[in-house]
Amino acid sequence: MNPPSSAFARSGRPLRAIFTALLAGAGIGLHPEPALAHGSLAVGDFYSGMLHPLLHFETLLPTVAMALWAGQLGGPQSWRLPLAFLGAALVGALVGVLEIDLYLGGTSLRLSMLVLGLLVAVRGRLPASLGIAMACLFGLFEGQIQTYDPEAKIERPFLFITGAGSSIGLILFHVATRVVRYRAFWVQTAVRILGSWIAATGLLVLALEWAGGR
Amino acid sequence: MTVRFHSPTRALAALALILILPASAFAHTVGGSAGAGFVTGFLHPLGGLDHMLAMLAVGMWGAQLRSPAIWLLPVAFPQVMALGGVAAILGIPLFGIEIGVTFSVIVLGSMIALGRRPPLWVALLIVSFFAVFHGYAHGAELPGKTGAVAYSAGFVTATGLLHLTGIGIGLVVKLPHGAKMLRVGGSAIAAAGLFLAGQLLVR
Repeated sequence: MNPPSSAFARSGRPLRAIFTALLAGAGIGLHPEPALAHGSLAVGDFYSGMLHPLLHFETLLPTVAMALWAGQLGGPQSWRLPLAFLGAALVGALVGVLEIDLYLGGTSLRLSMLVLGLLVAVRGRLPASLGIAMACLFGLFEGQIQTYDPEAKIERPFLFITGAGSSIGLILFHVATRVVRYRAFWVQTAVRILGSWIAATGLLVLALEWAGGR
Repeated sequence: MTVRFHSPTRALAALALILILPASAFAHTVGGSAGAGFVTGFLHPLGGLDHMLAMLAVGMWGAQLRSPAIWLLPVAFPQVMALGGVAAILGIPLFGIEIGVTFSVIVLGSMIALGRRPPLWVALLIVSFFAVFHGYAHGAELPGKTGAVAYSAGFVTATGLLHLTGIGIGLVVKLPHGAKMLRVGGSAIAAAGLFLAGQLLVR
């Protein structure tokens, strides 16, 4: 039996992780109502920034896939990859504030869903430097979409970015830690299945977009 | 964490949250809301008996075939199904979709009923063949741009959960006489498939 190899690993039980996931899922379902009802939330840009990465599957799934993959790899990769992703996301958010379009009509995010999801499904191992490079690229996409929205009324971008960054970081490190911690066969299988679902979703929507663009 | 709930309380809380979910999601038809598209997509595979039985059968058969198949099928199936969906979206013509879907119920049910263990690649080939039909049937009904991601995520999740339910049912093989019980279940699915095929002919 290998001991958990990440400094972030903490004790807990798989059931609790599943319960947390269920709660989070229900939360995603419940949140759009207040979020859509108000153009800009009275609670401030920090909180709307925190909510933003969680509201759409498009932005949530690449982050989750990244975290799952990092957790699967274990070792130093389990925190280096999320850190690179988060750092790139912060840079990307600044790029978004400058209204530079990396969103490409959603292609960038769907591509990250497909690539990262497939890597999780096959438990793919890549050279460390390539992994970091990919995390940076996909993180850039993920961060950029947080602030690149012509209709959004972000009054204090830095507060918003801080909020979005904390949310993304929370997902990344929480999920990656759980995957590192629970080496049980069924948990690792569940992770691969989840990756497969994310990749399938990305593939379908990429095709839909391509067909629509013709 | 110092506060600990008993697991039934947790289960109830989770159930309550899940029950609230559709209500808040259906309230919005606005595109881009994560809830609405997801629930519509999630309900889609559950709407048709043929699709639902076939997905359960895939899981049950995986459990019957045991070790590599039981986890390989739920990992591989969504990819192949998505490829079928891509074919539909790109407008590649594929004939006899409905017949293929109904036929898959009969074949998968019969395989469980027979209780033989074919080589892994044969099982994967059979399941992949039918996965294309199922994916095609879904892909043809994917909505346009609004909420496409949520919809796709919803129906992929529902399909996957049906597999896992099938695997759960298939785990009866571990009980005494469980193998027989599973084979009876398989023949029931095959019979339902024959009934569906009859309906298709009459229509």
